[in-house]
Amino acid sequence: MGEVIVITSGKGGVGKTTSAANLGTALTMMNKKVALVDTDIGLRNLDVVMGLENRIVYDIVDVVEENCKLKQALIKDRRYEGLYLLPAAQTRDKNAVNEEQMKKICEELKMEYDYVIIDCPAGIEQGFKNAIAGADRALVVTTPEVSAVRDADRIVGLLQASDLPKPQLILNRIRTKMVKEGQMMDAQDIVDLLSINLIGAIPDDDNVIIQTNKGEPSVTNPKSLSGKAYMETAKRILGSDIPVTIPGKKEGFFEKIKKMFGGNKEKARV
Amino acid sequence: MELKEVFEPIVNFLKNFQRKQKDGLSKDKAKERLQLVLMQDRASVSPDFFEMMKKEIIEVIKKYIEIDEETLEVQLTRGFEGEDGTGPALYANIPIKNIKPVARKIQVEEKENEEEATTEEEPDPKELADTIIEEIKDVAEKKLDKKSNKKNKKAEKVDKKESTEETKEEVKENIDKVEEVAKEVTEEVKETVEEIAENAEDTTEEIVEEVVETTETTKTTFKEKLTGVKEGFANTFTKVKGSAKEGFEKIKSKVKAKN
Repeated sequence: MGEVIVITSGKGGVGKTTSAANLGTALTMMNKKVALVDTDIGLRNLDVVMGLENRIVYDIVDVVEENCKLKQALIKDRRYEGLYLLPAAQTRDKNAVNEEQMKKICEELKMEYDYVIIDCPAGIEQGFKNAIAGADRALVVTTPEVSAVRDADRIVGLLQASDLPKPQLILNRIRTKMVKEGQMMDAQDIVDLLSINLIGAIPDDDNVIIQTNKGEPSVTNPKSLSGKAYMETAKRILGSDIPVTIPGKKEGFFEKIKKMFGGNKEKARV
Repeated sequence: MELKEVFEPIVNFLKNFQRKQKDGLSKDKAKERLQLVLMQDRASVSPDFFEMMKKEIIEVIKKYIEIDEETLEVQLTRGFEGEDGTGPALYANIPIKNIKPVARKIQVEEKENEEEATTEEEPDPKELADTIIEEIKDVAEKKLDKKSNKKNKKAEKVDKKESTEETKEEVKENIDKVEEVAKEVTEEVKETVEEIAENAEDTTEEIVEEVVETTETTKTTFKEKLTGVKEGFANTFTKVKGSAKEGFEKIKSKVKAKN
């Protein structure tokens, strides 16, 4: 029996789809079988981010309306063993699917896959309700900006009011230089504000744009800073308790020495 | 490259210093603003919750202190400055009218307990009984006040219409009845309590329990009696009304006949 993880944020453009693509790919790179589900009906994007846009035959609405079987709609990613995508419909709207139907799809996928990653649309309307309906766990993506943090807090409240009381936080697009200068809120600030646990801190990385241009998640580039951070996040999803590496966090002289000798056992509290 | 890395922290420090001198770091401003905005958002998610909490707080305070509920205000503010920086605070402004005797009693008892730390004394049964009697008296008096006020008003109205001495007397009788009942009840309670208090062999706990029980029963009987009187009064009142109507009709018909 697999786990259904919904990736949500409230605000648009903070990196839900990028996070879903990267975490899904990272998990398959760790030999897990993963199904990516795009629930952003009408504004689908997970397919282009994954570079699978030319292979869509059926979509999630076809599955719900029984034009095809669930297996037929799932696109197998030939580059990464065990990665599949269930695309959203582009010509319909969020009301084409309801919560019960979504739950059913999740249940069916859970039987087959280790992880079902759901890419949630922006907003708090029907699309959001659908996306979280079948989820076992929620990851909230935000950036260190006031608007994104505010929306994230709203989402956390809504998740807690539903059956997902302990969402975890992915802080995306951290600008190391600005954090160092004190001109951007750091991970600790955001964690203080939202009071949920941090599962990943992703630095702002030009590589994400370059990789997305090519239709490849940045985790596939081992040199990419964001790719590394996503890999680390995926490990934590699997249950590893490695400390979250905070981009831009000042590292003292002693910490550096400790790290050199591999003695940094101290757990990140953030 | 290396040289740049070495100097980077120093440059950053100087930059930060300069900015802090000017108008503070923008991230601190962001955090401060968010703290406020999130609080408002969170509170507005369920405004009922806030009302509920306010009501419960009032209920608890009302047990001990007489407060002015009209001018009371409770609000969430950005609040206090603790060791970990600023945090949210629940701010309440509660105007006190009077501290209830119960609260004073507790203070006194605590002091007594401190003085006689070795002997664990329960509250004195007689004292307790007195307070209970006081309470019942209060309740009875309040009810009586309301009753007699209403009756007086109604009686006045009837007077204006018919001005028969009969009704006045009946109303008076009713009031007297109610007063008598109240007196009886308080008397009863007093007696039972005193009886229990005299039973020195019983443990104080038992006494307290019994007092509570008896007061409960007397309270209910008092209520029953009161309702009885109420009904009686209602009956007489309808009678009076009836006779008044009749008289009025008679006058009417007489006037008509004359015309």
